[in-house]
Amino acid sequence: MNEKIIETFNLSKEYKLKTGGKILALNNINLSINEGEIFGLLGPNGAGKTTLVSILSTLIQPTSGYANVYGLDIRKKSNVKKIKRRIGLMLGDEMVYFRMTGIDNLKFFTRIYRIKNSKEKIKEITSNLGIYDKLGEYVSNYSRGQKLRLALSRVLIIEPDILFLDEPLLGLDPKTTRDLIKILLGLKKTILLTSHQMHIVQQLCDRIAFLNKGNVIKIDTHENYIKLLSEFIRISFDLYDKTKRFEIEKELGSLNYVNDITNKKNNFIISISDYKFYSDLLTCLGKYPVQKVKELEPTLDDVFIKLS
Amino acid sequence: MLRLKNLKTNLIQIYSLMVKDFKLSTRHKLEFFVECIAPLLSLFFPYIIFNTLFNIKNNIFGGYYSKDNFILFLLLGNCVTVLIFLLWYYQDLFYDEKTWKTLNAVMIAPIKKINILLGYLISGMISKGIPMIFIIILCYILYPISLTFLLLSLIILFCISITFASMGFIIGVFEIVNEDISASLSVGISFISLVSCLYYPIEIFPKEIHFIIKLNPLYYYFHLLRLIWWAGINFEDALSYLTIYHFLVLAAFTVALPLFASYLFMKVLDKYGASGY
Repeated sequence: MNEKIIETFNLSKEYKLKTGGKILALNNINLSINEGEIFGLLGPNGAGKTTLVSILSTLIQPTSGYANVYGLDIRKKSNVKKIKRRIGLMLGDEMVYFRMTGIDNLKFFTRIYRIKNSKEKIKEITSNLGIYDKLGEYVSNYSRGQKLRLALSRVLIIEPDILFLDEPLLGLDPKTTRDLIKILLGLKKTILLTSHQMHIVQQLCDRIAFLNKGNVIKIDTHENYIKLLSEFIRISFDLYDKTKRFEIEKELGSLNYVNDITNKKNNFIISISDYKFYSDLLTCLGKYPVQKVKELEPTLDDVFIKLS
Repeated sequence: MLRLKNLKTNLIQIYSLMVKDFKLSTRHKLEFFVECIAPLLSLFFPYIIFNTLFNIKNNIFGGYYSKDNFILFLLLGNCVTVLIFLLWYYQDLFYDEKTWKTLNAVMIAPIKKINILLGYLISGMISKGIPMIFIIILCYILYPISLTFLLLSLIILFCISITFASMGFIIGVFEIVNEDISASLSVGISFISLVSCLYYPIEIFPKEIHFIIKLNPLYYYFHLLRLIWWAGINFEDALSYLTIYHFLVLAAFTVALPLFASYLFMKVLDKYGASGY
């Protein structure tokens, strides 16, 4: 379990922009992933998650730094073929031919990978993922959940040791999400998963790396993240006397434990950094005509505010 | 033994890519059928114009175009037109593959880039070769020639298909990394293809611009194709128009363009990855 099978050392990637400038997609990334671990890369759009997955899966080369997959340096051409044999990449519901049937897609990839007993494997995997009956249809007719299941089947059929899953559960209904989480947990494989959905990463991952603007902000276990979030409080309330709006905004803004205030019409959402200020805040709010005071579930934005 | 196994793997991978591309091309059967017959429909107006002109005077342009053979040359031009569609075939294919990220899926598989290249090139040539064969059969029925000349004509058509597949592939590669360059190349090459006396004799143009047309390598391709078929009917007449340049240009571009396309494909994918930008 503790053998490091992926390691990155000061990994950086710079892209040239069409407008002439450059953008640093990854900045000196150092992380390691153990065998059998489900490792989550969490971050907003443009954080560098897909770039990191693309480099580790040998699709693109880093600008500087390096990474080892199973001890093989990804920069060496002679290693790339060996690495490719051991990894499977899934980029959301893509990487399948929409103008072909599901079965033709899977057959194509089993031939390219030279998989033996492909017929039986296709049947077994797609039955487990619940899309066996849909395989004869064109992928363009699939629902998003079915496309994701097919994309996952494509990856599982090639029997990789490591799975790179980029946003594998984006835009799914709660039931399909639950089903796929159960399937992923049951795979017992090393998985590097990217997402910007906190609740999915929490349920799936042993450890989570927080990425923002190409930098790793924090790597920790999901238990520690939950602990971190529990210290972060967001309170929502409605102000029913509009004339007091500027007054309450001014007073809340003057409190040094209030991190953030947003308001839309009469609804206010404020963030405070610790529960010890809770009673002080309620006392402050008590002076104003407020109602529907409630604590909100912490979001990804809260974590960013907390970490940055 | 190991080499034999590698060869088998390579062939299966190339074959799989070809089958995949063929399935993608024929997803909409009617669209595929229309693509096959559309070039023939485009012959309607040139036929009326030439027929009228040759009814006025049999050898109106000078040269070897006449009332007796212009239909053959229109049909041969049509064969080439079908192959010209290869210019856009890879552009469309690579655009789809880029959008679906399937090129990433192929690139990440343990497959040699040369196999990917061959798979794509052959599939394109086959896909456009099918409608071309029907037109060749029509040519053969209307203007029969000996098997030697037929074989020579097919070799030239094969060289033309390699050339257009390579040019299409270059456009397609740029479709992955920079669509602006791809679009500019597509328009540029299409223009060069059309200004190459594909259907018409060079004599139709003013003498002052003949040298410009003769700078266009494609002119020699199409001219050679017509002359080889015509040689099967009127050997001496055709021979008087043939030059060594026809063969030199054909040989040089048929070899150079696929090599350049392969080089570009490898370089671009190494530098930018399959997703481009």
